[in-house]
Amino acid sequence: MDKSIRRLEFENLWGLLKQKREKQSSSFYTLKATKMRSSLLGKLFRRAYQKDSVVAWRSSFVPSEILFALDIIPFAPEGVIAMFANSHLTDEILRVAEDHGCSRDTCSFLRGIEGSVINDYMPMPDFLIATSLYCHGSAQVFKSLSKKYNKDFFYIDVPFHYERPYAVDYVAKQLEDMMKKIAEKSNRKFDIDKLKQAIIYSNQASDYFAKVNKLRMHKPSPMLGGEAIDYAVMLAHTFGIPEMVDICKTLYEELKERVDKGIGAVEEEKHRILWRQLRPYYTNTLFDYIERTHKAVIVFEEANCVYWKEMDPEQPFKSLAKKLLSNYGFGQVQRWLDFTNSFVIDYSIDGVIEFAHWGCRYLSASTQIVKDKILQSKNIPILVIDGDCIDRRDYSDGQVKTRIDAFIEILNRKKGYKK
Amino acid sequence: MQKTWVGEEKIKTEDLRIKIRKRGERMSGAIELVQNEYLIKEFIKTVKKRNEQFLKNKTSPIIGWCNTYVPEEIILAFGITPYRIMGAPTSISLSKAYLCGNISGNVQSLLECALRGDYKFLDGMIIGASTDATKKLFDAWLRYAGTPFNHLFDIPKFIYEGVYKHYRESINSLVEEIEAHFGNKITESSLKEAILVCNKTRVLLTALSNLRKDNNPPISSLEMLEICKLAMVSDKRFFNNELESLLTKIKITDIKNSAYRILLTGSFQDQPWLLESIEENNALVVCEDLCTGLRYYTGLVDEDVEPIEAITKRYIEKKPPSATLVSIDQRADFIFKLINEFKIDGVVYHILKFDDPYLFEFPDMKEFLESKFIPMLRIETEYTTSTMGQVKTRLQAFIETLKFTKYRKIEVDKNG
Repeated sequence: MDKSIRRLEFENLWGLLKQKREKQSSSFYTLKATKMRSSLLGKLFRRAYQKDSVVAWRSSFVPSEILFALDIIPFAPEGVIAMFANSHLTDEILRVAEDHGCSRDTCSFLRGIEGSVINDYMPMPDFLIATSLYCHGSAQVFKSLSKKYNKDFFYIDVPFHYERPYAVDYVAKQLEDMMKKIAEKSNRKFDIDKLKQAIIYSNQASDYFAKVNKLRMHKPSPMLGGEAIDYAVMLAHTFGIPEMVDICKTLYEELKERVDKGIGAVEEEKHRILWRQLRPYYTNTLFDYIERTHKAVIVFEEANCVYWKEMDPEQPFKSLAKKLLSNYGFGQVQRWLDFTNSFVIDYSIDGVIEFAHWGCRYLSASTQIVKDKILQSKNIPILVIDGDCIDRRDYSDGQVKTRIDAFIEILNRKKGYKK
Repeated sequence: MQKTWVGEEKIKTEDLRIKIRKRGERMSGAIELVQNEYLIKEFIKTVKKRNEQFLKNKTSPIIGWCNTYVPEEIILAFGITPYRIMGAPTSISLSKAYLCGNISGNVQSLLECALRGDYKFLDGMIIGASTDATKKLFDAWLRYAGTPFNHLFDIPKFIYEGVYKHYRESINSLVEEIEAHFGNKITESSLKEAILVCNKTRVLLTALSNLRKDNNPPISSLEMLEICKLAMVSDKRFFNNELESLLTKIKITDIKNSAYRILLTGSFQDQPWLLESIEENNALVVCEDLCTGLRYYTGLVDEDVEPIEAITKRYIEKKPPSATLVSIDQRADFIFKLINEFKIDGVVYHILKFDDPYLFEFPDMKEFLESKFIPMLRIETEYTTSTMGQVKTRLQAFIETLKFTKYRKIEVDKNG
């Protein structure tokens, strides 16, 4: 397959975007860093459609540091589907995938990828890489698409028993082998120094982001959850380049200034909310309603947690393996419970909201245990909104808002607020 | 031929088949069919009775397991009885409090059965981490099911060169935890003995299933399902002896069966209603590529190599893969081989609602089977019988269409 097809793929997509893009509320973008973030993601997105780029499709958590060290564009189709949903492009894409045999009960991120490929909206990959972290479906879909494109598929097998002594070396070897193979196949130099540099950038960025997370513990919270949650996409996909360091540094400085001046994300913060899982990408009004209307600020999102320790650039593969293995959502649920417990304490949480993505078996299934083992004993209410991050066909704005009203009412009563 | 135990057993089982085929002059086929049915019923009754007694007067520990990638050999080598737990197609109420609703029905049902006390006799439980749902089942099981010993057996998700190490480590982890909890040790000889026992079960079940390659299958799919389920929950030595004896007695009949020959593949399926629904439409399920079928008993552990290595090789290489192993190419090849061997007229691809590996695999499998002009029907069911009516109608229509494809096939064969 000739890579000049990418031009056609981009034109297909651009035509649709121009037709359908609805002006989304940009009022959440209050920070310069957020604009820098959009600009970086846009730049990477456009480069992925260029003929001369080497593009690797990667599922969440595939270390982008390795790809940047090889001068390969990491392309995260799941993130792009979220962008399509934001532009209301997914109705058609999902329908096409369903006609092709994909069930509506599967994850709509993955279904969206299948539909986009059928419609030629995605840039043709040179490689596809998936990990065993979290969901099982992404590896299946990537493997299937690798056959369609006749491109190499790489799989990073991360053991579920992350604490086993062999795990770090086992994952590290896979990462090293993968980098060597990709370098060889794409005529890139396997330059370990470039990887070490990428690890240094990654460390700097994650250090700033961890400080950002710490600033968000402040009362009143300096940042809106509606603005913060989309950083999760960037956290998963752009570690290892200096631009990421600039963005995280700018974000830190902007929030620090707000904290120093005592400026909160909203006036009169009433409640502090912990957000679990992702968000519905086709609407921005939900967060607006919770945060600005009800003054219940989403002070932290679990997806934005910097759970890994500083990496050692002298041992890049081992460090990246440790990063993968330290993902709190992976492995038995106890580790996740411990993290949730610390979030609740550190961020002075009043209530928890979870947006339970319909196609996800992995994240939603732990909710009851979190409720039973962590939240009940602390008397912290949780609202679980069953919905779909991408597929808006069954979303009912009114119903969701009614449930939020009831939830806020509970929080108000607990705090003794009057209506 | 290599003179290994496995090789010898193969010859032995082949001898059984020859014996069966050469059995004297044949009486009228109808009488043989009735006799077969009686013999199978008696066999099932005997094994079930023995199981009941065993559970009543338990003399050794029992460990439950789910998922066919959990190596029974290891459990057996500890002197512990492996017991496959299966759900029940009753309504789900208790497990809803601990698992979300969009998880496949059989997983919910397993927890439901545990919560209502059906598995109280278990001394331990091993859950295979094959899907997102089973990983989450383990989290809930550990906290609410009340089994004294619990282990999550990690299963690799993709076949590649490093996968053997992963699986071996999973075995090591299992051995360490059983040793620590039950206080006894595994030895090389106990492991080899366990391999022999499990291999024998596989050989016998394969021989029984292969009887259906003939045009006049002496055993029905319902009987095969029942026997395979019994193999998973019985004292294997007793089961093997009984099944060996049954195999020598089963008679091949001359009655030609013109029913359409169906291959059933897809999600976990242990309930008879689906098979009954297919077979009430002039069709016979002659091959089950299921966890309660070929995926359980196909592929032997080589006894000539180091036991753990041999077990690893069996589960990764020799056992027919399930969709959880991201293995569409291997699965497609295997299914195509079965289609030829069992002279299949049509494939029923069954998916349990929310069972991701099969939901995601389906479009590729559909493309593959279409490219080979093999009729296929996809059906999606709940684990309970709530979708039975709808499924029956679809099956009826599908089997009706097989008439035309079969007729076309005969015409093509006739005219070259």
